[in-house]
Amino acid sequence: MSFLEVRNVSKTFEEEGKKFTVLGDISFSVERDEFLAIVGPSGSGKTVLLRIISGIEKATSGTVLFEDQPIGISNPQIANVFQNFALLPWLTVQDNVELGLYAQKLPPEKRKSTAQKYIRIVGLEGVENAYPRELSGGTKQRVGIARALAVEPALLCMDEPFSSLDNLTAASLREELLLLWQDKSLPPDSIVMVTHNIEEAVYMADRVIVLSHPPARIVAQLKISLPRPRDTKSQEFINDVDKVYSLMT
Amino acid sequence: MSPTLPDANITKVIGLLQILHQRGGEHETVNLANDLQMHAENLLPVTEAAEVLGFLTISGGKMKLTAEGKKAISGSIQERRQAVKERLLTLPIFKKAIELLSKRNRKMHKRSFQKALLSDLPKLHSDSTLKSVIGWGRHASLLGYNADTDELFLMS
Repeated sequence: MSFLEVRNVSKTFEEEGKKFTVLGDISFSVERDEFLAIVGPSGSGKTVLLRIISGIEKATSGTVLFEDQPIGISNPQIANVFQNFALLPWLTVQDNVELGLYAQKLPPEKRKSTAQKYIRIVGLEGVENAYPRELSGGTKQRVGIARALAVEPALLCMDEPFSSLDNLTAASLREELLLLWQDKSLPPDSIVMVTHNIEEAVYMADRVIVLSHPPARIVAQLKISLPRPRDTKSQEFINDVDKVYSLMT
Repeated sequence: MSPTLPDANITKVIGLLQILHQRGGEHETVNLANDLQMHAENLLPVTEAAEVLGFLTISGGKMKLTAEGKKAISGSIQERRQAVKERLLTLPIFKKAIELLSKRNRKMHKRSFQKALLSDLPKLHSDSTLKSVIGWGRHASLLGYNADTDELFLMS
């Protein structure tokens, strides 16, 4: 049984009678406890693919199976982190984190305590009652991560989670995310991250999938078996980055 | 005059320490901004903040990670926050802030806090230092701030 299986997924959009095929015929699986990165040229449908995996968007053909069951509209096992954080500006950090828990119909006290637990885990104590406008980009994304983790998902889908942050903030958050993922007592088990940043993919992931120009197909899959924390100056790291670059161009 | 704090957030400071660590713990100050695709004037307050916190030393055009700096990027997220908190507690401005808040039932209106803590600074420096006191204090779970009531409070 696969943890997550993407089977022959394709996606075609129709606009004014014209058809655009974004995703060709995509098949791959994700293992439990795996960190998978998907890279590809812009317009290669990475984001669409991620939205199909998390059930936000429907595939034109093909299926996505989570533990052998087709995923539907509501997937409590899967949570999302977005590039632009997707926080509600009129809600405090606490309320933004609780937001994801409404679908679970928990009693209010349980909703509150679960949100508090993940606020603590992600390191947001001290800003619980802050509004997004008071926060730096990095802290906003921590709130996005806490909100996703609070539903205790088995799979976390992340769409360019660090690309709207400056390099220093991104370095800091990548490390925190790896710490959270490596802690086996915490959700999620697995992560699928879409990124255009090849160094980031090689630094973080166990495996990198390279997509082609649209209609996107999988050009190659590269296993990254370097021990963590990864040494970005090591020859092995540079070799893996070069390999992905050459596959993309 | 009260000490001022650089206008930089701790997340960036930690990011800088991580990058420094990845490069063997030291780096030429001049080249780093270029390397990180950052303007030098944006990187400067971050390096200053790291220096004020004792996470790195700068001399002879080189920055070097200290043992405290290494501690701030080791262990769990909570341990890292704790390492920042320990450094904050050594800074005179945070000692004064804690003393002020402790005397006033652990919370104060932002305006009176600013007046008591930073009255002798020009407005520009006073505002940016207050921003850093709140931001750094929040990061380390040392201070809290409620924007609805404009109140600062001491966390446990």
